[in-house]
Amino acid sequence: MKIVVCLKRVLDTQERVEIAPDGKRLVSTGLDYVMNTHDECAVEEAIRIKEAKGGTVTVLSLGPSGATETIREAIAMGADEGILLELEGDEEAWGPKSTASALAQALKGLEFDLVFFGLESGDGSHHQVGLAVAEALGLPAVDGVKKIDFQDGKILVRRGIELGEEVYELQPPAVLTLVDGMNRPRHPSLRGIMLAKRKEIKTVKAAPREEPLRLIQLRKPPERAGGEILGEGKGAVPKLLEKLREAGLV
Amino acid sequence: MILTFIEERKGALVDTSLEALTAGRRLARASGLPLAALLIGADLERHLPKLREFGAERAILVESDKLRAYSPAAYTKALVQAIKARSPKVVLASATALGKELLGRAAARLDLGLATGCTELSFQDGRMKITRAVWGGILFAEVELLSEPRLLTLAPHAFPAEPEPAPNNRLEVERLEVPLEEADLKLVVRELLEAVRKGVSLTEAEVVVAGGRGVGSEEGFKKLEELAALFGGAVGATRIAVNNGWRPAEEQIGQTGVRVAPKLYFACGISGAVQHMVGCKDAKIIVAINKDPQAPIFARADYGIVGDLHEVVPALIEEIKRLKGRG
Repeated sequence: MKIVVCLKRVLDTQERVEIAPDGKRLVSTGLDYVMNTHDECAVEEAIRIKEAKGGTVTVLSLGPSGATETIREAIAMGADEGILLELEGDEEAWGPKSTASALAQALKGLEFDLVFFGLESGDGSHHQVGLAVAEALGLPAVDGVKKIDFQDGKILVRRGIELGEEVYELQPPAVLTLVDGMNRPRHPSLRGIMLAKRKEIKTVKAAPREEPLRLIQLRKPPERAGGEILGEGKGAVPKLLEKLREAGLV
Repeated sequence: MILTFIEERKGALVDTSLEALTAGRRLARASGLPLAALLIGADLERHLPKLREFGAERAILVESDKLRAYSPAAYTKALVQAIKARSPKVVLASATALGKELLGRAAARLDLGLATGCTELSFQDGRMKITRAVWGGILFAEVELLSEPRLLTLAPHAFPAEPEPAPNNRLEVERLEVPLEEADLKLVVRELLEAVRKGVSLTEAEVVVAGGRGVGSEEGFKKLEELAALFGGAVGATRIAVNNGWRPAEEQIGQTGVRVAPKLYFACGISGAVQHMVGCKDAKIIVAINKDPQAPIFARADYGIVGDLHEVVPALIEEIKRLKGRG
């Protein structure tokens, strides 16, 4: 099975979600970038399939040159190759349309059975790129996959819906978007990290197209007002129960 | 025309579709455009009374036996054809698994802009103001769609579902023929596995007892289960607790998990990172139990107890049992 995993690096905001003065981005000073959460699970799943069935895992990422570090992380986990579509100019000019067309273009030059995406990115949260790539390549897609089973030469995938789960039988080539929680991504081994360091990452330049969705400004939702510390340890329990009783909860 | 995609599952309309229809109606009334509902599937006429009740003026039905089971390609084709045939100004759907997929594919096929996960919409002087959730719900973005029709998916429960018939109470029904080929039906749902309910579901529970890193083990969650049971509530977990294998992924609350809005939320051994809080911020009362007095959770909870949850939670359980026994 040849699998390509498309992944994105996102800002690891931790506690410091601060909107820049232009209102269109977050302040990134002093913050690190990490692999998008859903994508991490997609990388893990691809590596597990490779380990069980053989094949290769290639990771493909669109981002500035710094995104090679995220690609190396995936290689350290066990992916074989990495390709960076290096974006030129302002990262904010890239929306789902530009991203999908650049990835689809790159995928046309690669051999694969399955293309994996994370469900959506932790930053833009558009939930469009995987589906748009499937459309551009004319491939079937299942969105929001939480389990992949290989049974008697068939690929069965499950995705979560509001009622429960849908099961699809898949014929490759196909595109899947995978959700966080379907597996527990491994930590790279020391050997993996050393290997990834030496790996050459193929880099191709990419330019954005016009985006039909324009960001006007970001804003924070109102914060919950801070509360009351009732006390320390189990001595504070009666006080808590009094509060809950007042609220009619016990 | 404002076109709202209405989702049907197992013969019933999906509740959040009626939220989308209500939002569509507001846009329709503000803009003077007619409100249309698009249904795809089989035996759809039974839903017409509901559409009328919610003020739809037109129902566009794409009916076929081949559409009885959901097929992403066939349903996308039907939606795309309806958009091409009726040239709506706005196309709306609830951001369910199916709604996200269909509008995502249609937006790509028609090369149109799509705003997903919208939380607020308004129409003023022909301009549409759109707010959507970004960063997994931590932030909101005010956006503008430059292409037409404007494609939107609405965050579930961000809009109310309120019936209000059209002024003349008329509903025109039209049928749209969509030729389906074998290729459109290659990928179909083979099986629908309905969730087996073990007690009350996390999203519906009035009391949620959630645990994080501080719980320390799978075993540690036993006491949280006991506390939840006393309230007839459900157990939730942070991403760390799920990643450590202490709880199943379905119980993950936060940015990449579920959102809950119970009356009472216990955050046990949870630091209170924004990524988690986005999943519980709509709880009426949040109670935090944490060893670290500096944990951000204390600034976001209504009531806090600084202490070891392994002592506080059992004491809380005993006290509630005692009260119940006396009651």
